[in-house]
Amino acid sequence: MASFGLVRRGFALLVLVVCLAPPASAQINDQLSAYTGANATGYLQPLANAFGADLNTGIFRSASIPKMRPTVRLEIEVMSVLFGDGDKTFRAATEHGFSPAKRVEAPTIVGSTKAVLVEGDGGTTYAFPGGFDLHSFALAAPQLRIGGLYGTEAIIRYFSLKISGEGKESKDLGDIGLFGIGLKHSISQYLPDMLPLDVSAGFFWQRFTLGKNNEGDHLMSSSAFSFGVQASKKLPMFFVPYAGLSYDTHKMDLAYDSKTTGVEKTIDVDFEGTSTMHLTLGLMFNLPGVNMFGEYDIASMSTFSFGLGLGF
Amino acid sequence: MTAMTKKAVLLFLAAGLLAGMSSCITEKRNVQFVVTNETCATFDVNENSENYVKTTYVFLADELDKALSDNDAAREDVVTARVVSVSYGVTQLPTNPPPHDWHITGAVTVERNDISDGPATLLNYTDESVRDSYGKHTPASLNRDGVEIINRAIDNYIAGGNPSLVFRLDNGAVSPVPTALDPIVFQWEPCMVLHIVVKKDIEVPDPF
Repeated sequence: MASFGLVRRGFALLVLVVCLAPPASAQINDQLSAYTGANATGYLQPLANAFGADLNTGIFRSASIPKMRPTVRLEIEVMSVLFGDGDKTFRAATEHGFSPAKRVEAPTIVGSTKAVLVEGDGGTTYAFPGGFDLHSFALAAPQLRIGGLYGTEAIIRYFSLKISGEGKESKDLGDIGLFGIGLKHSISQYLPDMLPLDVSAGFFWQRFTLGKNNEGDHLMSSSAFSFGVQASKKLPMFFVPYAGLSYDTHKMDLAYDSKTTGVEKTIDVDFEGTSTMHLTLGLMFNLPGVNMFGEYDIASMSTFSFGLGLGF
Repeated sequence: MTAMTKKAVLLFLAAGLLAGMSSCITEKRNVQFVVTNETCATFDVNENSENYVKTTYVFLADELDKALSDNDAAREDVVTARVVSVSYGVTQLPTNPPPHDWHITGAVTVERNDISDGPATLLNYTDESVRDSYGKHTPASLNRDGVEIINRAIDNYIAGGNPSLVFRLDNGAVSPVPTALDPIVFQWEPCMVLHIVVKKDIEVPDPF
């Protein structure tokens, strides 16, 4: 039985973790191996949407950027989607020459763990695999902010971890990688007396990769881009409410191994790119040297995030 | 806010963050996934009459053991398994000289080899063109009696048995009729797809 205890223990200690990835990487491949591609998009669509929503969360926050004072802050943040009932099933189609061809409601990757069986002609039966019964999908990422140069701040996300299994799965399963980079620039510095709050504009690009298939390519790769404007206001007692409006895009591709026809081959699935407007409402508690934040993000798939930052 | 209070708040929030992260990796799920297995039986035909019988054996228990092993599962993990479909096609034809076409009619039957169960017809083929079937996998219309023999063998495997099956190609007619000077020569391969539902306890992160 596949087990990834070592990896789990490692990332529990480090906290710098993308939550779903290590234990589920090979399991996702197992579940997908039952599909030759036609159903794979529907099975994974909620996860693809959640990836995009999480990646584009927790980026910008406070619009206050010093014009000429170096700042460095290391942050840990958790971004999460809560799945609804509509994410739990999809309209799946029978494959492998099953007769008669049927379409049924089958679990998505976040749906029920129970397989769905369909009766066919002559005593045949088709089985759709169960999901992982997930209520949420969270990413955790370290983020570095370096700012204070002409009212501009650079934002960098980076995380990389090699996945290895135990026993039969001890082969190299690839790695989890996240890299993101963006800039935020103060607009209010040009209008010092006209605006009662800080305003900035920025963009952020990132790429996430997970696992490795038999051809050595990533099992899953995902890229996201967000640009928008932010506003925040420093209040007494270190509170900084903030809001942002951005436009997000996300793209996800899969390349998984399937043995459905007796011969193992790699199935490529390109999810249709998504784009959405994104409203952020948040509150930061900004102490000298330390800050904490929590925010709610309203988009095509709404998310929430919270985190902690250390720096000056 | 005093320094002490600030520290306490910070520690509380940091502990909450860590707890949240830890809990996200401890949820256990019993997930049912599906192993797809394809088993093919090969019949080598080299006959100079239209009535011929060919037999092949499938050690179903070995086939299922291998399919499960390839997917890190074992017999005790199997919830159920069933026949999904059967297809057939011609996999080899003589190339020198290239043959003329043949049209064949007959049936494939199945029975248990380890105990008495069957035989029953699994599928019939009628006026199939050998040349047109080359390189293809034609979906077969299945006979319930034959499928149920296989499904009973699978149930026996799940219960701990070691079933094996005999597939018999029982050809009834060939057009044109083959002769010693013009024998019908080809390799024919029916393939059976099984879905094996397997349960696995896995830990999935589900933090909220």
